[in-house]
Amino acid sequence: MIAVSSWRAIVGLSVREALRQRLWLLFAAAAAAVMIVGLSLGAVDGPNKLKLAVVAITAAISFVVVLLAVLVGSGQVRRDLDARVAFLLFAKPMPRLAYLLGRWTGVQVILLAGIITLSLVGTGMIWATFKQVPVIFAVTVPGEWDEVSSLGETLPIADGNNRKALSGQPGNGVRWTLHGLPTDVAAYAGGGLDLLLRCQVRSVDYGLNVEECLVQVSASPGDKTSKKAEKSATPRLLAIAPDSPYGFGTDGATDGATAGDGQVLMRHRDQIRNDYTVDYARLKLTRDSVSADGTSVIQITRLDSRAQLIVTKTNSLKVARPGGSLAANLIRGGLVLLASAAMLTAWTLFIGSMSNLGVTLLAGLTMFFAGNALWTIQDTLAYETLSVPAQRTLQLAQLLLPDFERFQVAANLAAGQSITWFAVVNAWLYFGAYTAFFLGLAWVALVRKEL
Amino acid sequence: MQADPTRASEPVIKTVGLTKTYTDFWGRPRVTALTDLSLEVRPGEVFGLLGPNGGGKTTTIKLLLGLLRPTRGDAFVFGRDPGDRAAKQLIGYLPEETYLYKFLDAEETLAFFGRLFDLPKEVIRARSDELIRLVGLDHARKRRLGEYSKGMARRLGLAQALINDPQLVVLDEPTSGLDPIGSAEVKELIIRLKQAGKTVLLCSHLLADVEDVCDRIAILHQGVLREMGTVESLLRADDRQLVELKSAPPEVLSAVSAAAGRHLVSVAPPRERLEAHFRRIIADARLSDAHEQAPAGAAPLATSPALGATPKAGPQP
Repeated sequence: MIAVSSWRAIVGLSVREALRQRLWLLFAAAAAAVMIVGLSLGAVDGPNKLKLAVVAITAAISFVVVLLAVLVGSGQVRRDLDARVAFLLFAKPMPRLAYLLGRWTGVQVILLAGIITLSLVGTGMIWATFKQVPVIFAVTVPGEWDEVSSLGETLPIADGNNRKALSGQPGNGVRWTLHGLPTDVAAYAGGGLDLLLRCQVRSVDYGLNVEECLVQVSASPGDKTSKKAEKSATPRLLAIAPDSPYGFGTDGATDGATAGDGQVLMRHRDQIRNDYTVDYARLKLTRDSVSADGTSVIQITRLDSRAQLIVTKTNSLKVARPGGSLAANLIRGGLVLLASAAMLTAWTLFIGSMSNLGVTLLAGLTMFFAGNALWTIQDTLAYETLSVPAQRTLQLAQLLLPDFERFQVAANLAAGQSITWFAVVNAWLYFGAYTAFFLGLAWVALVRKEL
Repeated sequence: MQADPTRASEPVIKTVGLTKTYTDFWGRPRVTALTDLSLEVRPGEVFGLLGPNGGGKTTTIKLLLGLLRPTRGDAFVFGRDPGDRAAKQLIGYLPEETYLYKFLDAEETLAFFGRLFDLPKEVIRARSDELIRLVGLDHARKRRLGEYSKGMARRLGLAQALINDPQLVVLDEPTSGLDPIGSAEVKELIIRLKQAGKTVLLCSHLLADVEDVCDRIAILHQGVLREMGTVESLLRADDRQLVELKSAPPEVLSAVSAAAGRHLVSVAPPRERLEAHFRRIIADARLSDAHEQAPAGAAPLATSPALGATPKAGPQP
C-alpha cells in the first residue's frame, strides 16, 4: 500500500537526516552532563543524593526530549517547504497525511532512541557512583474504606470523603479493603508483601506536642463482594519489616514510647511527603491475610488517646511490590515524557506548515512554557480583583492548554514510585488527544497549501 | 488501479479553459498567471511548452501535478484529476530547480523516491543502478548531494524522475545547469523516451532545446496561449526555398544565381549550428583520448542500453 510505503520512507528519511546532522551529539552532551552530575553528587552528604541522581537523570531526559521535540519538529515540514523539496514530494503519489505522520513518527523514533540511551547511561552512572540502584515500588491502593468505632462497630464513610480524622476514645480506627493482590505464594517470599503506612499525627490537645501515635495493624482475607472480612477469618497482627524507616519506637521517639509486639509507632508525615522509602512505615502482609481472589481487609487501630490520626483513603495505606529495575522505570518515565513531546512535535508540525521557522520555534517553546505554567494561571485566578474578561480568558486557557506537569515522572521516581504501563497509556491518551488534534490541523493546512 | 495511457482516443494531458489567479492572504486576486489555457497532449508525443520567464509554464505544470488548484477550468492527466494518486503513479517530474535532500547520496535518493511509489526493493535497486549509469553518475553514487555540482544534481534529478518508469515525463527546464554535452545528452534521452513510447511534456525557454526534440509546441506569454502546433508547421517559411550544393565551382554558382534572377536572396556556405559544432569538437577530443586511455566507467546518457538504440547524433544543417 502506497501510504504505508511512503510513511516508512519518510520515517527513514527523518531518522537518517537526524543521524547525518549529528543530532546524537546532543544526546551525548546530555549523557555527559548526567555523568558529571553523578560524579559531583559523590560530594553531597546525606541519604538524598541517590534521589538527586534520579532527579538529575529524569530532568536530563525531560530536557532533551522536549528540546528536541521543538527543535527537530519545527524544521521537519518547514525546511521541506522552504527548500521546495515539497514540490517534488507532493508531485509523487504520496498522501500528504502519510508525509505528515512519517515526519511525526520519525521525530518520535529519534526521541525514543535518546530516552533509551540516557536511561541506560543514567542507570550505569548511578550504579558506578553509588554501587546500588534505588528501590522502586509498584503499589496497590485500597478500593474501599470504613471507619471502625472504639466499640468495634463499622461506620461507613461517605463517598467522596477522602480524609478521616480519628480522635476520642482509643480503639477506633479505619478499615481499608484492597483488591487485586497477588495470590501466588511466590510473590510473598521474604516474609510477605510490603505494606506501606503513613499518617498525619496531631495532638488532640493544642497544648501538647504529639507527633507519634501507637497503632495496631491487622489484616484478614477479604470478601470481594461484601468488602468485609471473611466471616471465618481471624485478623492477624502484622509485623514491622526489619528495613522499615520507622515504626519500632526505639530510635529517638520523642516521648519514649516503644512499640510492642504487633504494634507500630506511627510518626507524623504530612500529605506532601510521598517518598516510599522514608515516609512510609513498612510492614509485612502475609499470604494468609489475602483471600483466594486477591482481596485483603486491613485495619489500623489507634491505641494512643493523646494523638489524633489523620488518614486518607488512597494515600495512607498501600501494598507495595517490586516495581522493576530503575532502567525500566526510566524508560517508562521517558515514554510518559515522550507523550508530551509527541504533542509538541504535532504542534510544531502544524505551525511549521503555515508559518516560517522562527515563528514555529517560538510557538513550540511558548506551548511548552505555557503548559508548564498552569499553576500560575490557577494562582492568578485566585485573585478576587481580576476583571471578568481576564478571568474568562484565563479559565479558557486553563481548560485548553495541555498540562505538562500532570504526570510527575521525576518526583515519582525519586520517591521510589514506579512508573507503570498504566501511567504510560494514561499519558498517551491525555496528550494523544492534543496530538491527534494538532496533526489534523497540520494535515488540513498541508492539503490546502498551494506550492 | 492504473489508467491506460496508450489509449489513443484519450489524451494524456487535457486542459479546458485552465486559469490560475494567485491571491493574497485574504483571498484577494493578486496576479493571473494563466488564462484560459486549452490544450491536449497525446500519448507518445513530446510536447514543448515555450515562453519567456513568467509566461505561465511552471504554473501550468504545477496545475497538472496537482500542486496548485485552478481558479477556473479543468485539467485532466490520464483522464483523471491531477491530484489523483493513480495518475501521479504514472508521472515522472523534474522540477525547474533540483530540490533534493543534500544529506543523501545518489543511491539513497533514488531508493527514497522509489519507496514513494511503493516499488519493490529489487526493482528499486535494479532501476537505481540503471539510472545512475544512465545519467553518468556511476563514479559519484556514494557521494552526498551536498558535494554535487549543479549539473550533477540536475542529472540525479532526472534519474529520480524516471525511477517509476513513468508514462508521462514532465521536465521543467531539464537542461538548466547542464553543460552543452549534458544538454545534448538530455535531448537525446528525451528522443529515446519518445521512442520508448513515453509522453514528454517539456518546458523550456531555450528554443533550440525545444526545436530539436518536440513534436508540437505551445507558446505562452503572460499566461496566455499565443500559438500551438507542430514545430514544422510553425517554423516552415513557405515563401523561401533552400538549394543545397556541395563543392560547387564558381561557374556553377554563377549559373544558379543567374537562373534564380530576382528570386535570389543570398549565396553563401551553410553555417553549422554552434551546438552541433561544439559537440563534434568534444566528441573528436573524447575519441582521441579514448585511444590513449582506458575506457571510462560511466556511459553517457545516450549510450545506456536502458532506453534502446542510440539515435544517430551529428552536425545538423
